[in-house]
Amino acid sequence: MHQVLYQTLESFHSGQFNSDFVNYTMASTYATLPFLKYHNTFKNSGLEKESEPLMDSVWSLYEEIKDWAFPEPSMYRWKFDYNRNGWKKFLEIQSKHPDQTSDNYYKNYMRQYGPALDTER
Amino acid sequence: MFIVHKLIDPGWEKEDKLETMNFFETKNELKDYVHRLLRRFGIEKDKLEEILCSGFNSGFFQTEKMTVHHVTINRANESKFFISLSFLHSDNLESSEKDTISLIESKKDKKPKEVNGKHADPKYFIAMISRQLDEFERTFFSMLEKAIDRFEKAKFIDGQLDTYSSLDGKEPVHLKAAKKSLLQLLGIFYETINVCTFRSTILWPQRIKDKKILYTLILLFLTKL
Repeated sequence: MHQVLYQTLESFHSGQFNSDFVNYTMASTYATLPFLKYHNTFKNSGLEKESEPLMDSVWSLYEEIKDWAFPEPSMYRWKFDYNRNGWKKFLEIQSKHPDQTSDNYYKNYMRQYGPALDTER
Repeated sequence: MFIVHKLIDPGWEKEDKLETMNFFETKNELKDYVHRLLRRFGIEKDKLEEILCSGFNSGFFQTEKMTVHHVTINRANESKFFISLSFLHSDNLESSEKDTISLIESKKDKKPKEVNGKHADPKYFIAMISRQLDEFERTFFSMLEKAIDRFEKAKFIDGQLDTYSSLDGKEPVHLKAAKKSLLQLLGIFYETINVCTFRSTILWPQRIKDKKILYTLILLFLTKL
């Protein structure tokens, strides 16, 4: 499918196609909120400790795309190392900055730079 | 293990028996099967019992007990299997299967080397993906068991099964929470499929140029799925 889309859109997107395609599909892998939801649900039903091995394995499935799935540390420059720190540290920092979400980042960005982008067009 | 021959099959040969026989764990299952078979042949119900009884008593119908060898799958050795298939790996073809496996085993817990964010050795990468999926399967089903247990316990109040819905139509908080965690697992399962599909269909084809390695990885993912 990737190849078919590439060949079809090649003339419009040229060499940019791959990065555009990946950017578009990467957005669907955003996992901060679902991950937070899993943790809270298990916590509320008294299964927090029992759910840790599962949370570990789910976290490891995002191995190559952690910075896309959980973008907040790089967006807000948290002291978080994707290679060294795990999901517990991630949620710990997230709980200290609940407003620092990916959505809010883009909203602020558009508020700040949106008018300038409109003028450019 | 008991067997029954095909009753009406002119082309049936004793040599083809494994393909044309049906296997049963108990004699009763076998008799039930013959019963249904005779019904399908149009034999009237009131005559069936007598035919079956006389068939076995006269020795015209016989049961035969056999030992059957069958193949089972041991998923713990799945990654070893894929790694040992020489035709799936273009590199290191000269090293023996034993060497390859021992190499993987010796570095099992070490993180794969990365060059510019890409895994340098495909064998490490395959082993890593296999471990990730194995680990997910193990922890997911373990958690599912715990969540089911929690849900079952939440249905009881003072040792009695609470079969009444509450007056305000709302479920007790503890039951609601137990139900939520059970449903949550469904969400985790779909999210996992989503992320693995993304990795296997978008990411890996870009990063892994060796089609055999890519094929192995996708096969591994689909098998686990």
